[in-house]
Amino acid sequence: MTLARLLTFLALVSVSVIASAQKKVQINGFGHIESHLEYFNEEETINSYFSLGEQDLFINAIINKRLSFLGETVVKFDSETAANFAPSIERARFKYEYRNNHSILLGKMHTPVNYWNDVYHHGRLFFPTIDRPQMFSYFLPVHTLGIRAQGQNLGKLNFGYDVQVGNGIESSDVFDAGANYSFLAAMHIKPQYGTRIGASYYYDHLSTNSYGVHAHSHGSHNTEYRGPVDFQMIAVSIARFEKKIEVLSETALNITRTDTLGYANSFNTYLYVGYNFKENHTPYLMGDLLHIGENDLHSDHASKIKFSLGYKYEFDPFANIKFQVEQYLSSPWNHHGDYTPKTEFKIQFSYGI
Amino acid sequence: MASNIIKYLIVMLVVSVSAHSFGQKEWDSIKVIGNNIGEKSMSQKSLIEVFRGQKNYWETNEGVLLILPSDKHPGAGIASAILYDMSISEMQKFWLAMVFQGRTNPPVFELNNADILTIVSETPGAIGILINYQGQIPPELLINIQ
Repeated sequence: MTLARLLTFLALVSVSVIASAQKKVQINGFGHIESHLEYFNEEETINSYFSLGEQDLFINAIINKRLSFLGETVVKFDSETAANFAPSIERARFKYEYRNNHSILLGKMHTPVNYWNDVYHHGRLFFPTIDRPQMFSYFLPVHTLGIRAQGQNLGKLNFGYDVQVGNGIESSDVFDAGANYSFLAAMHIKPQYGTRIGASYYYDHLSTNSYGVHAHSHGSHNTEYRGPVDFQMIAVSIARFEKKIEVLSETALNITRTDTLGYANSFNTYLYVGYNFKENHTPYLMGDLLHIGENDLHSDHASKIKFSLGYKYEFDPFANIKFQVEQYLSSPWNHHGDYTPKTEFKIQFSYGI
Repeated sequence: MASNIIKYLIVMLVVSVSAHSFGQKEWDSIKVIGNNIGEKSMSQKSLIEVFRGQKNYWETNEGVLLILPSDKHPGAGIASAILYDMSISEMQKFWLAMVFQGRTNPPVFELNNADILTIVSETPGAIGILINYQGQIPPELLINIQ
């Protein structure tokens, strides 16, 4: 058994080496490890722990002149498994470039609703802050399994578009009950090198307000309501990454409609500002305001503000460390008083090989 | 709310206006070679756009394959400065991020000018730069930069 495993491993390595020698396959690994110190202000309790983050295997292969494949498989925490970790296919898609800068993509992809989800994916190495914007834990549809038309770098403004139809929020990677597809239309321009301004619209109809594998809202999902939900999201992103100043603004408005309570509006706005005072040193500030509408039946109610002060040091292009102090507060819209403020200190080491 | 967003956008655009210019001396130190790319001359601006991954296909229908000096190449710093306005390290990070996004194919990094010349001459659609290169270049590969 051990010998068989060894032979299989050697065969896989051999295939990788041969493929690399032909310069058609690129294999990378990404991952991160964190240390947390949480202080709950009202209860005066402390949690302090290390945390093993996602371990990410990334493959990019050029199959022929027009066709390429991209795969991203992540091993990450999963409390429902015996080992508390489980593999997850995050991206597996073929791309056919039918015309210069115009492509058709098929497979599981990150939904290009905003800059963060389209650019950083699961690579903590590229994240400007330790955490994603809070919308990722509430209403943002992270993945889609389906088909996408994509254009990029068109015209003087480097216009780009994505139009996508696929399995939506309730689906798994192999099945979706009913005949409801999610729909996305997104566009962006890059008027200057390092600048990208984009907007998107996403629609999905959830028959039973359940969640599948395409959202990360597992802890914030309203599990008590099982009726239909019309789900819409409008997002705007502004990113500017230049030599000294880095700015990323992500704003999303989530509109849900139910027969019970009608329309509900939820939103999240995230702003990051970093300053590279040396090539490898970036102190930064971040603010993140999340509000889930009172009558939103898709997500659990939440209304909180998060402020962070951080510092990123890059050892080289393939490894960095971030230190971040965070303060979580109830937002002015939190009328329930059901959120416990906390202060947190985090360290994240992230790498790519 | 809408007016604030418009003001924010205007400020962002104004702040982002920056010039990326390098002297003729650096440009004189490089030679650009391409294989069946359908162009015998190219502007500096167009070359920079190509090397920043903004073009996927040539007019000849060949896919763009970028050949860049690796960090061990003695002229890597010149290439990263001219083409990306970056250090070598920043250029590596730029490409790691670009490939991870899945919006462009990865370039090939070569250790020396001879390897760059070889792979370009053997690969239709490939474009590469030679830095401080004194050897012979097949005329059909040479691209004039204006």
